[in-house]
Amino acid sequence: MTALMRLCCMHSLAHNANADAIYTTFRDTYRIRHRVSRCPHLADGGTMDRRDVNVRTSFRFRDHAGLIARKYVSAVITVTVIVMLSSMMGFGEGFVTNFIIGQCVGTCAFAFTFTALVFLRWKGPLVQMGGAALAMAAGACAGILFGAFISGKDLFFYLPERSELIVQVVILTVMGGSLFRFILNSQEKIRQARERIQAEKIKRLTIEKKVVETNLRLLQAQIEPHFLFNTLSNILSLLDTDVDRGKVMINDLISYLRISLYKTREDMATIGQEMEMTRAYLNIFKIRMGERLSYAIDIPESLRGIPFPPMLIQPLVENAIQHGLEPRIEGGGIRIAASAMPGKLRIDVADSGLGFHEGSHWGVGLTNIKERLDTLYDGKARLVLEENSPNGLLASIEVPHDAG
Amino acid sequence: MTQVRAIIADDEEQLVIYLESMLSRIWPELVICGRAGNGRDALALIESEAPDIAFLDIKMPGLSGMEVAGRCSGNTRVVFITAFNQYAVDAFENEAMDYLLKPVTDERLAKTVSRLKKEMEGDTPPAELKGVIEEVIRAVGHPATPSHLKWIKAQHRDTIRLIHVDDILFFKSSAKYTTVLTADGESLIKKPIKELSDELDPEIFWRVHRGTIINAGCIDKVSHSLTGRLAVKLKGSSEILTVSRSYAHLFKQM
Repeated sequence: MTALMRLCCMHSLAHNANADAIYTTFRDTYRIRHRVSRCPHLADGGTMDRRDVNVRTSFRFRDHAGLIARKYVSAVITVTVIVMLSSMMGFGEGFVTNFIIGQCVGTCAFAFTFTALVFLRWKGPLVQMGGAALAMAAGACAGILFGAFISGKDLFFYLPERSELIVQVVILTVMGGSLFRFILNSQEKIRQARERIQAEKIKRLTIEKKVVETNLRLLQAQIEPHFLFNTLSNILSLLDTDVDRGKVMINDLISYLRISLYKTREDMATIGQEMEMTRAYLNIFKIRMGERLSYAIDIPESLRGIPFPPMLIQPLVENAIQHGLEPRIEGGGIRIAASAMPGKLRIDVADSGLGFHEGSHWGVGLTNIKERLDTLYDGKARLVLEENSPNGLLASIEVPHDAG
Repeated sequence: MTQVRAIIADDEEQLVIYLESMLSRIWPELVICGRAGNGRDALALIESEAPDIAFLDIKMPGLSGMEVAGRCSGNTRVVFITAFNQYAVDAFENEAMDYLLKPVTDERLAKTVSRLKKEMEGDTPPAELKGVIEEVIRAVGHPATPSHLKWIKAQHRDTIRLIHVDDILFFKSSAKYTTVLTADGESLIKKPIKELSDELDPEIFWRVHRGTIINAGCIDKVSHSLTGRLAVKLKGSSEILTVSRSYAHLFKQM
């Protein structure tokens, strides 16, 4: 019968391990709910799951049913293993009695601990741990009484203990408890790692989807019918009035189309290529807008060979013309400059047009450029927009760059 | 029949020249009595010259061709000129308005010219455009979906910056201004929190306090303070923002 006491002691300590595992999972569940682990508007194309950031104030059993079931099964298995081992080693009163008492202790300890954790879920970790330990001890006692009642054994008859046995029991249970704790925790860790990998995968797929979307939008954007038809109208007119200028304009249109149509399908161009395309684009507008447009491109020779994503500079210029200069009666100027700074490369497009104004799709193109930069450079590049003085807009793209 | 007079308005000079030369071939009797490079000049020209016909480019600085047509009074017939634009074309199809697509072809222009001639011989008055144009401007200028605020104009140190809302961590009201926090630091705007919360996308920007709007995409963690209030910490900011009780429902299970 002392062996039975020993067994009960062991159970309660083994349940310490289980309770601890419940505690960890439970706490993590709540903590994770406090966190929006990724940007909500990146997740599944813009729908936002508010449940991710909910702080629960009421406890609902069915939300945790899975966790409870999982932990209870693992508690039952742990107890069964202990019972089998101890029965084989000749402890206790034979397998059946050991099993009944063991499961009673296990179930009570589990229920008590869990209930305590539900009530203490908003308290600090120390309070939770203390509360869980007390509840577990109370549960274990209740379990012993209950188990003894079911199996018909009188535990209190043998209460006077032999001291050397107690020492053995303590050492044994601490070792056993730690072992179970270790096994359970590593299982928990494996599960968490799997979940992390899954989350990573979702994140990667979301990013890939975004890249495809932005590329598609890019392809659509470059065939701007307004631009093409207006330019062709101008060329038709020049063929009647000024054939030489008409030829120049056709050549500029060809270089613009060639670079933009081919380069969009590639990941990288060079700053030089992008500037040539932009220059062709501006030449076309120079003919179309006449005196109303002036421009200057100032790119140091040393920067021309640096790789740069296609179709970032031209859309900035397009935006400056479309929303800044074309709608302004007097027109204005555009100045493009590139400069290398320690660790970064900066492209400035400054115009003296209308600047920021509400309405008429203002900023759609700029939003697209910003989103493309975010995708291409994973948030390490930026688009800065400032008011130009005395009027107009100064748009700068800054990308990371190692001056080699 | 008296002399028929017309004006041409287009912000691209070359296109004015081109249309004029085409018209001189197709309708040699037509007199071009004025040319304009923007909407404002076009309107002034229509008022001073009172032409029979006005060829108006739709996209012009100052006033658009539509706005000019909507404002001018009198006996002027309007022909719009536009580069390909599906919205505009759809809008025109239903109405008694004539339009030319750029690049203008001889055939299409000849059709318009014969229609104009017929109308003027038959003495049909010009179609009443004002109501129609208001309709079209509404349809074309503002495609239905009202969008949320995307760019915010803010004072950043000694410059005025345009900040994209995605870059904003939170808005906080202070004495006179509203403070905007981004990874670049603080900027100031004049718009009060109340107005902002109406204009921002409520799915992303949550008003958690009378004086605070946060970007929910940047929430790092939410915790209970000692007094039992909710407090929010955002990624990239060390500031802890309290959630007032009346806005705590934002964080509760739906």
